Amino acid sequence: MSEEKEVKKPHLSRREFLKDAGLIVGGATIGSIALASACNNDTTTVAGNTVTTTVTQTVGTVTVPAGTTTITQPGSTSVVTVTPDDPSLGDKSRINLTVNGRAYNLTVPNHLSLAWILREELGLFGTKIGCDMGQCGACTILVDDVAIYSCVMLACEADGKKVTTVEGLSDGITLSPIQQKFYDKEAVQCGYCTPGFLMAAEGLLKANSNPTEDDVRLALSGHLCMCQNFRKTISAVIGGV
Amino acid sequence: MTLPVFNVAGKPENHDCHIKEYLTGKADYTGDHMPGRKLFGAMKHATIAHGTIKSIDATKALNETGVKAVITYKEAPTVLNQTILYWGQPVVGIVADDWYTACRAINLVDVTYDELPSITEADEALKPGAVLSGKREGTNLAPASFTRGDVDAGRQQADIELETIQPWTTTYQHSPIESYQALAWWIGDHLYVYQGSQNLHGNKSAVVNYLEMPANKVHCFARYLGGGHGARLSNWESGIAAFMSKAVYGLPVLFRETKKHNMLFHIRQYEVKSTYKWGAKNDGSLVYLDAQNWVNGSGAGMSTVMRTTWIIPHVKWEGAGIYINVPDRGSWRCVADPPFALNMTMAMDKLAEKLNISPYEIRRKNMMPVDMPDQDSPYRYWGSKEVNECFETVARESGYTSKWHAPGQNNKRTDGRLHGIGIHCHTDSHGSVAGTSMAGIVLMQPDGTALIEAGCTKPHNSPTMLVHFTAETLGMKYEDVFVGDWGNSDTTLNSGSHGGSAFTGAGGSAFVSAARDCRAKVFAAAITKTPLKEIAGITVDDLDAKDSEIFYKPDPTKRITFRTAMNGTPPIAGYGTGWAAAGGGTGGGGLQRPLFGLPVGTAVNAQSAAASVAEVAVDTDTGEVEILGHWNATGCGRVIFYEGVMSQFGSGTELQIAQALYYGDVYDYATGAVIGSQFTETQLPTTMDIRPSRHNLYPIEGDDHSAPLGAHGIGEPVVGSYACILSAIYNAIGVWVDPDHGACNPDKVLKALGKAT
Amino acid sequence: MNKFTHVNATTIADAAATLAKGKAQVIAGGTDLTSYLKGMISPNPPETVVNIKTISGLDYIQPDSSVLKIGALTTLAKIAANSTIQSNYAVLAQAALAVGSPELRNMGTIGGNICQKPRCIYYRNEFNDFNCLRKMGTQCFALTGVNRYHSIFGGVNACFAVCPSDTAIALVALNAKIITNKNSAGWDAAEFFGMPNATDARREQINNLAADEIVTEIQVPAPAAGTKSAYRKFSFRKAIDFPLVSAAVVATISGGNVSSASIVLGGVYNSPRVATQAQTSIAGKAINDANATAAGEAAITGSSGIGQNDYKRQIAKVLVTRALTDCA
Repeated sequence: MSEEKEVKKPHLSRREFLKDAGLIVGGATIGSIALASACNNDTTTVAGNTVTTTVTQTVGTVTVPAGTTTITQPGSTSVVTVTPDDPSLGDKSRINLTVNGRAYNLTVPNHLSLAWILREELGLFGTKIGCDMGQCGACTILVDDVAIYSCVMLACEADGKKVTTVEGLSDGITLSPIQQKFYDKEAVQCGYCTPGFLMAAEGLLKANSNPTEDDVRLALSGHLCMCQNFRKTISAVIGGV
Repeated sequence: MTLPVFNVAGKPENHDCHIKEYLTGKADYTGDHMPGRKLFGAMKHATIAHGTIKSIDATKALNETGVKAVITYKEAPTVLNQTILYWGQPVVGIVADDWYTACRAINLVDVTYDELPSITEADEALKPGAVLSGKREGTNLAPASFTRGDVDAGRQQADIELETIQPWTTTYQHSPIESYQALAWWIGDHLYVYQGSQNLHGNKSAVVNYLEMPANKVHCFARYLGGGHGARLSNWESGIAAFMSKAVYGLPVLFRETKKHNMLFHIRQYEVKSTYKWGAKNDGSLVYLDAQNWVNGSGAGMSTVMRTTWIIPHVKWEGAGIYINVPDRGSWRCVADPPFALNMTMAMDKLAEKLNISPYEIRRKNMMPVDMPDQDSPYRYWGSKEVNECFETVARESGYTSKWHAPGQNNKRTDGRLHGIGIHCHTDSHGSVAGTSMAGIVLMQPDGTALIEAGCTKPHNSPTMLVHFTAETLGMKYEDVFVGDWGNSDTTLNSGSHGGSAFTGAGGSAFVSAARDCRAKVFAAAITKTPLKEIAGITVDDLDAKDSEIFYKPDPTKRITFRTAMNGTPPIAGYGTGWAAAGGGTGGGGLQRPLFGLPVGTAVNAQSAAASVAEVAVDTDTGEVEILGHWNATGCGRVIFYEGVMSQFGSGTELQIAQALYYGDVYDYATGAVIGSQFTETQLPTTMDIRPSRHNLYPIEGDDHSAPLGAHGIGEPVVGSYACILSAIYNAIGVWVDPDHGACNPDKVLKALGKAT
Repeated sequence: MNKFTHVNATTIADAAATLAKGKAQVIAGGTDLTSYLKGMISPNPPETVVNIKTISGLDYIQPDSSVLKIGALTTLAKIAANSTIQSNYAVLAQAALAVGSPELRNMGTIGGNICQKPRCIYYRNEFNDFNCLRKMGTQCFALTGVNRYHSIFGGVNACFAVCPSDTAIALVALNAKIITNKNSAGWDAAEFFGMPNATDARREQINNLAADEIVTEIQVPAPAAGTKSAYRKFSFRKAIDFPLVSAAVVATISGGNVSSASIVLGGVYNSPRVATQAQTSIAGKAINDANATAAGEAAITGSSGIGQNDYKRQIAKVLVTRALTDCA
């Protein structure tokens, strides 16, 4: 027996939903017919700058939290407001922070790391979780222009911070200077450690625009790479021939 | 040797097709999907080494807010087991709406066991009356043996004999940055799974079997993955995620392994202990080898290395694989070659010392020449044998001969440390051509650009490799060939697995075939277009292509673009399957071009080779070893994706150092637990430990005549030569360090020096 | 992850009051506590986590002619980069620089570094699969198992884990004071560190803080003229790793001879190990090869391996010799 549960989710177009579900590959929509059956009860209303989407999904007896999401479109205040599913804050905190130049007001569970929130709440999956305990550097981001491990920083303690992730280095089409350096040296293998290295390098180059090899090795020393591709990474950050 | 000139392959300016995805954070790994719309699965592990599960009580877990489901061997018998064979084995899966809740619930599930006696140390398994691990019926051992010639006769002929003992080698443990995970969801009775596996279609086959479902209802995606190393062929996570999702009515579940579970659940390279009895002539030529090899883990097929590199008329070896109550052994950056090569190199260096010649000289004396076939049935030749050139290259470039000194003699540096240099080479069992069941599709688009439909994933580079093979074969510019569909089991054919460095040959041969088919069809269209159609009697055999233009060979001024050829032509699909160097597949496989007077189609070996030299300084007060220089040469066949090859080289060199000086599982033998489960314990070296500016890389192009475009895979060969570092340490201090299942850490060096117990 | 309530403290008194209610711990940089909670290391985890980063006025470096004062929330990166500390308190700058990685130093504070939990491989094993006697269990697994990383000067309360903090070693060598909300005069660093013989979560501490006690400031007396100092760390990797062995030396040299020397070993014992015999050995002597070597040998008086850690004795000897030579 199934029952319909109203699931209100952050607003996304159907294409974005399917893309996030990994079902759009190379331009063609895969499985969209099958998934449409899950989406066919979307209702979307727009009132001024506010878009509200309600997705109804057939589920079993699993309880899915209900709530309302309100998003103010860019062009007004560029504030993304995500109100909590649960009316009383309890084990959550409200935080105001900027991520890649955009201001957010979020309500976050207190136990979740900033890495987790960036990924699962804001959909910024460029920041990776490796060990989840501050030993590998895959999760490195800049907070107030300084490199830190986002997996050991609680999101609820990020109030007032300026966060930069790998997605914030550029518009994603034209590469930023540090991305271009990695491109020029083809300094990527499996790529999983790469965002962390990019952010650490970005932090280094903000503080020291002409680092020596030893400066680079020290600045990147908090980053592990199982492909063990330091040669390319170090030479990319040093740059030049 | 004059190598065929490529127009696209090997060009340093070519970039990986997806490099911008990596650099901008858009590359989607398994966990990078469905933000805020998935549940999470975690796995509880066994805390006994041997026994059976007696009871599972998940009441407390299911009462925990947020926990949605629990799965056991009863719900998922194809992926979970009631029998426990090692400490840390997966036992109970938990699904929750929060990852950390799922992890917390691990200790809220009460599992009781009927415990059996366990055996956790390999040496114990060799003793009579040893406790049985339960991994094999009635025994812990899987015996293996090999014979060539007559060792007893060889004993009569030898001038010198030496027995050497090689202690347990290191384990190259399972420590990728991205821990294993899989995302699964159901829509009706269709299952969708995303797992960053190294084998897209292999993943699908495994899932079909785990779930006992029809293949047309299983849809697998596998694109980016964070570290493969030949071990990310595991599809078990997909099965678990599928069962977890099924338990929550098909909602998407991301099953993630914690770092600790990633270390516990997975294979690592096995360890080898050996005794070698050598017989040699006074001039250094080998007469016989009588060896015993004990392998902690799989014992099947004791290493190509022992058979393929050195001329030894008489060989006997015996030994066994040992199966005990520890996590399974298997491939992780190769299986057999590095530990066997390690022991063989060290044993050979000891023999050289007894003969009063250098390690270089004993190898030079006994190396199989390029045109010598195997010494064992079926006596095959090699599509290209690069070990000689690799060896000579690193010896020459490092200045080995002038730097070598007797072990521990005349080698004190001005800073007080001891200098040492070591050399190693072997013909690796990887990098071969095995593409008989691989297939490729190349689509020629109406605008004259080409798409490859790549049934593969991307541990790194793979679709890019295929683009190179395709563009080169088609005669198109690199920038006119794109990756179309990839990483999707519904829309591609199986282009190959990324384990064992086999992808270059397997996927490469499939796409060379597909591109040839596509090219023939495009040429057929081209001769219907002006100005080619005006040439009397023109056939497709009169055409060639280069830089995305098709031209008439007798008069190249008569040319059209691919775009023109496609103008008004229906879309073209080229299809092809691969071949194997040992024969079989497209065109019968084997040699693709004659070699040593052997005709096309002759079955040959197609494997890579590697050689390295390491130069070290050993601080005899602390046991610390510094790499002063490292030279790494590997036979590539041909370089296809230049930057990919150079990355593999650079990383292979660093991995050799990591394996020699840093890696190694840490066991609690009392329980059998892999007690070192964090990165601080698995010791991946940092940028402060590795100085790449001291590493020298030499791709050796040998042009394998059985391989697509002559190219080998190199992922294993390039890391397998770390014996040179251990030999260098011996050369420095005059005493062999016992790695004792791990690396040559400073404490082990101090023990060898007698400065620690 | 263990469940916890998170509160932002506005004052130290406010934080202490929350701690006094029990089952609570302070979070500073968070680099240790978050992993500790995610790993569910302890059977007695805090149920309340008190954030003190919301308390202002704890982040400063104030050197003057008689004392260097460092706020407890000063990051290790700032300490390592501070030119006054590098010149006059080199052992502390070097110890701070030796901690972890750049990111960990950007996040980690000196207060946190001296309050972190042990790193014994059994104690730290996630899901508390090895509930050792440090966690109110009954057994030290290292003693009969893997003890390669453990104490060579015996156990404390039968625990053989070593002090994981680099800055702790330097602070003891510098005769620093650890100021807290309950001890305004400050603990002597040498008394501050140690394993409480408690029957609750305090047993896991590497220091003797009371349950409601919070470090607020570090005070280091200004060095006498002619003082040099150095920190030497040995670990298998040159970044991220905790000290397997370390040596902190603060030597005042007068007339070419050592008039006073403070020599402390790390990674070899439950708490920073003052090498009194080494101090005696070098007193009044010039720092040359022979004397430094003799001091190194004296430093390991009374040490012994427990199976796999004998090498630490050799390393400790060598590090003391080299750290002394750094101060020559």
